[in-house]
Amino acid sequence: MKQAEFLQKLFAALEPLSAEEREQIREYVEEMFCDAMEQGLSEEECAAQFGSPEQAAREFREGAAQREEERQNGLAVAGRELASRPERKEGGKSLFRPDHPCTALKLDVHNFSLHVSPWDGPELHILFEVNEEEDEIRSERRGDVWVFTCFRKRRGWRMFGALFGSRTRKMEIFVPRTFRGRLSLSTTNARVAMEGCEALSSLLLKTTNASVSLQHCSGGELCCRSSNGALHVEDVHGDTLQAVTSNARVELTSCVWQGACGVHTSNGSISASQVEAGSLSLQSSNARIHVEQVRASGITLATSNGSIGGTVVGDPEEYTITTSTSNASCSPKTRAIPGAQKALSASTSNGSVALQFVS
Amino acid sequence: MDTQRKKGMLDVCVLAALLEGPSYGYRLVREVGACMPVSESTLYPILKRLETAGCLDTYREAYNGRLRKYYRLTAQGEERICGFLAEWEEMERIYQFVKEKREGTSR
Repeated sequence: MKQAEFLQKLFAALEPLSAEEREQIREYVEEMFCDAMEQGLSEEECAAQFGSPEQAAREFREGAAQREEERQNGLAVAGRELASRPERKEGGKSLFRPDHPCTALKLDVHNFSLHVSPWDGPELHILFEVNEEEDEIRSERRGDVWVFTCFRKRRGWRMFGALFGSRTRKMEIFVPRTFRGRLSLSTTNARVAMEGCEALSSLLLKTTNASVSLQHCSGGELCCRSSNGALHVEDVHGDTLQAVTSNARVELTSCVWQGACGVHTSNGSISASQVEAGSLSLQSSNARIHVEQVRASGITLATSNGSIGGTVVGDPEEYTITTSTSNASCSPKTRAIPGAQKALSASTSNGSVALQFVS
Repeated sequence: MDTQRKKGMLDVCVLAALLEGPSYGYRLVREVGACMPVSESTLYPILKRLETAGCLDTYREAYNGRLRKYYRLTAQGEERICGFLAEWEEMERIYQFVKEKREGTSR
């Protein structure tokens, strides 16, 4: 096959790629032909080295598709694309901050424990020890959101990664005391701890296989998520709380929510002590639920294979009560009060229900 | 060999071929091809990927009345080679351990 014919067939099969990409491939292929012919090869021999035009086109397309995928995942980052380079190093750690003040931070990393605390400066900061060889860091601004991602370089680079497993490292996030915006912080395989941040408009703390701890904070919509990790929320107040995990316990202590407080886990106990909310819903399975001095106009407690017990602050005469279990004692008994504004529902199987009203 | 692993090996081989100095596509295929099978069309995505990752950069230079594209190793590329060698040593220790255990039990 002559060069012209090869190119024609190749480019017919490269239609889906962008004009820019095709132009680069054309240059590359033409240069290969030039160099090979200068070495004494015939046009046919040169073409043969690419394989068939269709096969060559497939490899070019796959390469382009893979780069596009990496770009979209934010995984392939050239150093020069960084919106904010680490500015200074403190004891081996690099400090990142957005190039302009942002009202929101969306952080997405893997295998980092996150430690979030307030500080007196004006801007959000991220501080951690960068591993130049392994970290793919992307830091950019989308509207008023600072998007920060740090993944491990992948694809045949750390070829035996699966054999070595991954270590977890520590990342610190400093939130200005004056920050009133949104934080969405997500990691994997390591714990998340946040303390002392006030008046956030919304907050998401998320991890897997490790615990989330939120203490002495306040804000609007708050959300803690894990799987296979405990959730611990103490001295927090805000509009709403959503706490979701699995195979682990959830503890709420000294909290106040204007709206709904929803807790969901499985195979783990739930305890709520001195919690006040518009409505309170605690759901688990195969574990007990314990409440102590909780106050809400709607209380829903549901589990299986575990007891439900503790104290509710309020006047029992104001509550419509629904309690059920399959094979143990149930107190108080189910009863409807006409016109009652408040409701208490507690249901389990294979466990007792023992709730008391206190003032 | 596993496809991903092979890809990673090719990356490092291409970078290693640039250790002696900048090179161009045709020569790289020949040089890397001496160690692992690579075709003209498989080299292209590798070069693009390494460039995107900052492991090499490119420039053009006049040659035989045309502008030939040259690929040059960056500091980051050198680091990757070092990383590969270090990782390999780690792998080698594991290999020795596994091998000794096996020989120990087969006797």
